[in-house]
Amino acid sequence: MIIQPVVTLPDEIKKDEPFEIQTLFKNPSDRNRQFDVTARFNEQTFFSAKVNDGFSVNPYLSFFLKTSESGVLSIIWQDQGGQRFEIEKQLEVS
Amino acid sequence: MKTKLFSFQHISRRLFLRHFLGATSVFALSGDVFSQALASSHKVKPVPMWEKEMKKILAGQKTTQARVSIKLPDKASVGTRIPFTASVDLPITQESYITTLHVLGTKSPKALIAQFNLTALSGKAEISGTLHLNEPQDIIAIARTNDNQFFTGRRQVQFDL
Repeated sequence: MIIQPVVTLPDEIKKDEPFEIQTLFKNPSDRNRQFDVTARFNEQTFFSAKVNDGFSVNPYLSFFLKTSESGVLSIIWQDQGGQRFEIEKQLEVS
Repeated sequence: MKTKLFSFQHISRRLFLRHFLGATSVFALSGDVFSQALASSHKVKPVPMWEKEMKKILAGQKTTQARVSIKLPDKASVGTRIPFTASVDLPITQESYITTLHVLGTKSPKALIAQFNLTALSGKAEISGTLHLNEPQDIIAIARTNDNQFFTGRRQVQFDL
């Protein structure tokens, strides 16, 4: 069964204040733990990762974003088996 | 004459065998000495994977062990899911930010655990994740700034077995 990744954001996002983006990715296989992540905000890549076997199965990964405007956050996961997951979230800054 | 010839052949065969065996044993001995000498000349430890990887990342640049802190449990109860955080204590602005954060494990099979690429939009150079480590080791994080300065942090993780 394929389980979509989970993205958690703070309840309130303040303008020009960095906030944490928490993610949980479900590996399709325990043996292959390598994956790539790309995070974009309003089409602009602000974070990417190349994760090797040193990460756990079903890894937690968090990183930060700072923005002065509202927009669309998009996170893409790609594993070695060629599976690709994408999650989009609308962000409203206050 | 026949006997003499026979005995001569016999002796020479004996001699030949003795010499041959002697020569091979000397050869075997010298081979052994040679292999021992070779082994002792290779007693210099091979460069660990993580050092090679670090050299590759630094590409000739110097690094300062500062500004990068790593949070890990002092003793991990399970090696398969160890929470960790690597953060860089530098203000992130449009002009000055962290471009990469490499995380290495001194005993990880691939040395490089992960590479994170950041930008000025990151706002804060901090990454958290869950590691899978087969044995106690040091975790090293190498941060690179957009003006090509390197900062390193290092922390040991023990297993609570």
